[in-house]
Amino acid sequence: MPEQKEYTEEDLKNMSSEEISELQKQNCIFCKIASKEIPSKIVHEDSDVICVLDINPASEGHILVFPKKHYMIMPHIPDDILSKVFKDVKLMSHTLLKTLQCKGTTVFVANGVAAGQRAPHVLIHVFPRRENDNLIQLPQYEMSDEQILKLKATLKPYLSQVFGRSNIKDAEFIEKKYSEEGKSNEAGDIEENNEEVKNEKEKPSEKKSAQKKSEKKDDDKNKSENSTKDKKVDLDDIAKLFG
Amino acid sequence: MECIICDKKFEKNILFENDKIIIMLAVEPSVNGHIQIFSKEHHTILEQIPDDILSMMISAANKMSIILFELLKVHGTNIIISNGVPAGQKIPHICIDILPRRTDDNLKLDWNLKQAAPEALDSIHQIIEEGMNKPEEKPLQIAEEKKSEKIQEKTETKKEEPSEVEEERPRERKTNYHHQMFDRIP
Repeated sequence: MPEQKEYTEEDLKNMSSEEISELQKQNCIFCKIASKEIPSKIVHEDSDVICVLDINPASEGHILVFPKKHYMIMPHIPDDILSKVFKDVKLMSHTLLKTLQCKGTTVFVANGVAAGQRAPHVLIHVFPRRENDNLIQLPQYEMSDEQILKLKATLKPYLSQVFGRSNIKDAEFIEKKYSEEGKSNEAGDIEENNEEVKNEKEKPSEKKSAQKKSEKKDDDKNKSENSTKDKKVDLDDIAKLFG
Repeated sequence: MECIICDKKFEKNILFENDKIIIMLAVEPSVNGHIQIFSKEHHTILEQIPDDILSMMISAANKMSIILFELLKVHGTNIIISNGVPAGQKIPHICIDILPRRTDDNLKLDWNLKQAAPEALDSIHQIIEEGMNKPEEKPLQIAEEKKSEKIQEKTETKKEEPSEVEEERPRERKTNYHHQMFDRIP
């Protein structure tokens, strides 16, 4: 952001994360586009969401869909706004397919600088795709059963916390089969009763993640094991990268 | 229609499932921790997903993003919907890809920033606006409803013709892009 260069790096370092986010909000180009301070080619607009043409298009017809309110990254957007945003994303994708005679569209969101985010305002890119256009192509590799099992052991207990009870039962047995072959800690914990399995599995993984944390972060901030607190810290860390 | 997701060919990858959505580890991941979110109901492309299910999927994508930040300690996530074969859609069952990203993962998902000429933007803007305002090209479902209404009207007046009409209609609809997409997906 050109406006931000008025502040020296020193100034930015001394600012709290709230001050920085306030500053970003004031200087945010996309907030200005939403309030029409900066002119743009508006394709569609409603009370919370605006769709404009990107001036640096990946392909002809590249549209940016974003909430008018300032959110840094997508996980910051509350569900009600998010569903409106993606309703418009669907509409824009549909519009591109029917008006530009393309055979596909890509919806792309980057959360964090590491993911390629360039502006501190969440942007949902929707752009037309054509054969051999050399745009985003995801590489692929095969995952071994061991890797699958390891990832599942890390993620699954948290998923059941966040999303509630899962319908899958058969998958548990498959998992059991694999873990019997391996020597993972979970093997002992798996029992016939699904609910017990979940309750018991949460514990070891919490320990695990706590261990990881202490290994990785020896700095002064000893994060509490409270997951909700961690959430906030981590999100802000992602957002802070825009200094 | 055969579908590797609906047929549960990759059950071992499933992390979570309820009656609306399936969250699973990507069958052929791009990075470690690559997650895919599918709708339980079979939908081939984005435009076919009902709004309520789409918002459930995307809200789940957001939550998964947070889980990945927390558990895998990644520096960012990409949320990608590859809609259609040219966009790199590999499974004919639309999904939301969530890619955990690290600063040193050497994955290039960017495009070159090249400013478009104002005239080019103007003309595209005009084409899109005109296309959006065209009344007859409303979403597929509405178009279908209208057609079925017409068919009903005809059945009331003439009794023998409707069968022909009904046979011809689907063929006409093939020109619709939804059907072109179906044909294209292997």
